[in-house]
Amino acid sequence: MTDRPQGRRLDRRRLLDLLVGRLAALGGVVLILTILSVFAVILWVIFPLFSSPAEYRWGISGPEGIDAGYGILPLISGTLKGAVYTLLFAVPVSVLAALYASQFLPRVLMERLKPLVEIMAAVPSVVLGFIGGVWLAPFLASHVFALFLAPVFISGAVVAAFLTRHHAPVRFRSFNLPGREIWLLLVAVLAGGWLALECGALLEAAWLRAGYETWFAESLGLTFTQRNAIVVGMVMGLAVTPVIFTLSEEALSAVPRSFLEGSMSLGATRWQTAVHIVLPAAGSGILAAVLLGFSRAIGETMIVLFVSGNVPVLDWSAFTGFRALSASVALDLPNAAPDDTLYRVLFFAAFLLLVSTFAINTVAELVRRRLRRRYA
Amino acid sequence: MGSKWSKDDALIWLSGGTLVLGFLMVAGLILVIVVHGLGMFWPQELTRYELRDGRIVLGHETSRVSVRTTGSAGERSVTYRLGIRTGDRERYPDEYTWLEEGRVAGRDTPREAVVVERVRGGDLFGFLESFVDDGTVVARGFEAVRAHYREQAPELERLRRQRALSIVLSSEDGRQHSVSLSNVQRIYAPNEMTTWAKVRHYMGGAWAYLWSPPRDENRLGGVYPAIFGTAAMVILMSVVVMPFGVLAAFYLREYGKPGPFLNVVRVAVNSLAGVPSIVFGVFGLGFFVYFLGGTLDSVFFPADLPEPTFGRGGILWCALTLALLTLPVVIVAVEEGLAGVPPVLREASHALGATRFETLWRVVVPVVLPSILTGLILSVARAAGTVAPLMITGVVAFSAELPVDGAWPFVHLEREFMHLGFHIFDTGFRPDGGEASLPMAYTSTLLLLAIVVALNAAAIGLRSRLRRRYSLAVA
Amino acid sequence: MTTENAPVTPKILRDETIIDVEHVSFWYGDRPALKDVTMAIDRQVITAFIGPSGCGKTTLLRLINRMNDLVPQVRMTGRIRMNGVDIYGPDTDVTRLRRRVGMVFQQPNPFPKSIYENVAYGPRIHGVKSGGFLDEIVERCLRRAFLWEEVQAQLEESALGLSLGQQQRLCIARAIAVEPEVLLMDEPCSSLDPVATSRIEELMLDLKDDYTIVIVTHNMQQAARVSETTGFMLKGELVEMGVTDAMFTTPRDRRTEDYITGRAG
Repeated sequence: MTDRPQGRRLDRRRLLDLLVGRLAALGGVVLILTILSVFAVILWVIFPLFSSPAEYRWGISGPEGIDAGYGILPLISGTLKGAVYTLLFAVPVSVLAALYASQFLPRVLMERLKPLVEIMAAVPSVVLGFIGGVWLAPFLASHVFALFLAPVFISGAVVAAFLTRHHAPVRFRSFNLPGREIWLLLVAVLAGGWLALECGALLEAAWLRAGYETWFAESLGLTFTQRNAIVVGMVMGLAVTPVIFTLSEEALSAVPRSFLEGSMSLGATRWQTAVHIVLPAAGSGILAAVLLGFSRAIGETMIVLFVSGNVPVLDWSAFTGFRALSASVALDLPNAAPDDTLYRVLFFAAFLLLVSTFAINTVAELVRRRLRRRYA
Repeated sequence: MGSKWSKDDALIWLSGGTLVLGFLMVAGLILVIVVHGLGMFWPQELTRYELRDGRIVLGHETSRVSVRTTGSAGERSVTYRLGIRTGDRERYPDEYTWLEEGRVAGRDTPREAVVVERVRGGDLFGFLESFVDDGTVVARGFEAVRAHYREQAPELERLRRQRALSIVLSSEDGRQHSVSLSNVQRIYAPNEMTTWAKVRHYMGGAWAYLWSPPRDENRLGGVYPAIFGTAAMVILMSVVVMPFGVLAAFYLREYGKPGPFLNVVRVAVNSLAGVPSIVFGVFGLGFFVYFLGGTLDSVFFPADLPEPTFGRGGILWCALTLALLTLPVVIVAVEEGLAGVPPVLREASHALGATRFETLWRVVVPVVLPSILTGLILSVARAAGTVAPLMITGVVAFSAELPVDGAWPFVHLEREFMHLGFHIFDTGFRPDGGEASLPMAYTSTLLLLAIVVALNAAAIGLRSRLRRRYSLAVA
Repeated sequence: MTTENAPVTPKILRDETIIDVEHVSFWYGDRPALKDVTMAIDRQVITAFIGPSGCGKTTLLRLINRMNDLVPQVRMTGRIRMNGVDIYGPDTDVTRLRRRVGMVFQQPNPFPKSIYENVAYGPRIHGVKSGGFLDEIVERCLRRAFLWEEVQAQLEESALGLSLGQQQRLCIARAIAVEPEVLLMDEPCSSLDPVATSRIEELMLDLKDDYTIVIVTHNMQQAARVSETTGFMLKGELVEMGVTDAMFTTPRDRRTEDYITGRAG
């Protein structure tokens, strides 16, 4: 009498346990099915493209009888162009910043910075794209000289700030405890940017006869458009910088302290140690971070949509725009009838994005794993 | 003091400069959004520009740009151009005009200049002439017309329908416009407003922005349907993504036996996290909309074919697409929570004879509940800010219907809907230049940014509190 | 400071003094690590510091080449001179100081580079560019560290592939490649097996003709085997310092005696 209900309750408990276990496994199965079906559905749609040679021509010459009037090659070139200019901006900024944050910034400050970086990473790309296309692109297009001067002037201002502080009376006995310099840096960067704007205006007064478009055409023989690769590089660069920064900073901070001490004990400066010891030791982690940034830039849609101008071209000039695969998909797919050639070609574009980002992410993951093994 | 010290320390400062530069650039862009976005509802004073050729323009300055020209003799000159918002779309395309600053002879801010916000057709700037009731002029002049308008204002809704009331407005150059009262949204005279009145006007504008539908091709009015649509879609998405995300995380951390299958699941999570958002959209279109939706139509709505019901973009398909996109976000957040649960807790429970499920339910789940909440918040923030995949799975620039309303079956999963992020794209990316819709775009951008930042800040705060608690428990 | 606890300055100045520590106290935050330490280290002699863990001997060692500059929130009073010059003076170039005062750490810490690059790193950062000259330095230092025979065939391979004992000798080779005057060794054998330990000890005895060696160890036998001068530290104080043999046979302080005979610590 007393045994049976207990036994039955026990069974029900086990049954429930088993059931929930199966349910959890089902969650795993759904995950696998999802990623597989993403591949499968896209392949299913693009398959007819490969069976008909006429449609294959799309790749080079573009569609016939379709308004779009461009092939997929300029789109591939455009996507790569955007990603490359993005990295040209993002890699130096984020890797140097990560080096500074991991080696020279006090941990306390870094801990305070982390949530900020996280929030930066969460800024929706439609927001960055909008402000980049509507405000930054026209602004930069009317301050091109200032843009060229800015790197030099900002560096100059930072060095000047350093020298000021360096030659100021030393109140503390040693050079440890940086961090307070961040405020000085803030002022220096702002001052450098402002100076670049002022001097850019002076140069404009001296050199510019008409607008920048004319100047570029006459002096350099280049086409200049307002929405160009430089602006895309900067805006998309700002979007991927938090990714590259966070992962690089992680890799740089993971370099054992003993390496640093070994190097410093030989009389290396902190900068020599950072560049010759820490940076190479974290090399594969940084490479993985850059690869992930690259794959983000390839798949990014809203920013290129707003900022790139969406004109299909094959050139790689910094002063012209481009049209990317992702932007084409977003702009043209709503107008493509299912089972139309355009529809299939745009699925093919998505397939290229999927495969390339998948491949890059996988390589990045492998590189990261190798790093983890090395210091484990 | 060796020179090496200085050189190397200068390089350290330069690397610090890049960190500061990155932050400053983002902060600068956000500042631009905030300034433009907050400025939208502030009543701008109207200025009357008298040009040398006698022309008169009424409006407010929005930009001042330099123009370089070179004369025939090679002499260079810089002139400035003023971008003036003029209203009155019939006369000024895009409601803007450019003035050469050198040709402005005089400017003043007439006290009686008014802004007439119209329901359709955009704003008009000018001076009140008369109030016409069924063809009879009942009031004349600024004060009288305004007094009469104010008198009628409480009953405006009713009067609009009953009588052919209209206001006659003269523009700065003396031309007369008759505006039917049924088309008047609001009338105000910014130049004679006190600061307090402006603040009230501002608050009213902000309120109306949040709670009214858009007018005039999204250039004016509010974004209520976009907010509603975003919220409805995000809720729908959460209902789908949370159970799957939590289950998958439980599988990865609690139930899964280490082995090839677990590894494959892990690889699947990582891969899913790396798929570009637009590709999810393409998948959503091919699978959800055309395949699932098409099948549903042929089974349940064959009578309506070939007009699709579910076989076209809609809120359900958008929600499902974003559920896939945010699945890894939820999994990662819940996994982190599970990893933080001290093993002793589980072991203690098992030692008392509890099954794995009972341990999970009574011991683990209460501890990771905040992590699940974090996952929910983060996925909502992510979904609210993602636009690209929605553009091809059912979002529209304007929709008169909400996805939830009083008509049977109340929740209309198949409907296209408005989304705040897409509203930004629509108002900020008009091929014809579209200056007139930019103020709206800035404001919506600010709103979306505020929502996403607030959600993320909440998640970060929640997580750091959680971490502190664990570190205390371990210590 | 009572007379009983007064540190005893060694009166065995066989050679001239190279490092002179005067009334040095040191704090990590609020926690005192060294209390009024005064002592002198002689040229080309092996000086050992012994004492229980946490007694401040490693801290003292790291003050001599200013490695504690890297630690935030520390405070120091007193004076440390090298060849009569205050190393914490405003005109000291820390990198030049560290070049003259090398260090070998508790855990072998070769860089994740090739064996060759590990030894060449120091000369490189100090401006040696010529490849031939670098080759010479690398070979000389590896020979000096008794490592050349073992690794000459694998100079381009990663240093992390070496055994721990070899790694530690590589670190010594790396340290002497910048031609320091003083070599600080922070428990260099604590992670090594007895065979590797004895090789390092042999090496130290060989090196002392050219370098001043300061070693911190918790192994009293090791101090007795290799050092000529020994200091005993306890709770941040230098209790006693003197000729090694004398200290181990006839300690002057009761606390030293307790420690040596194993009654305390």
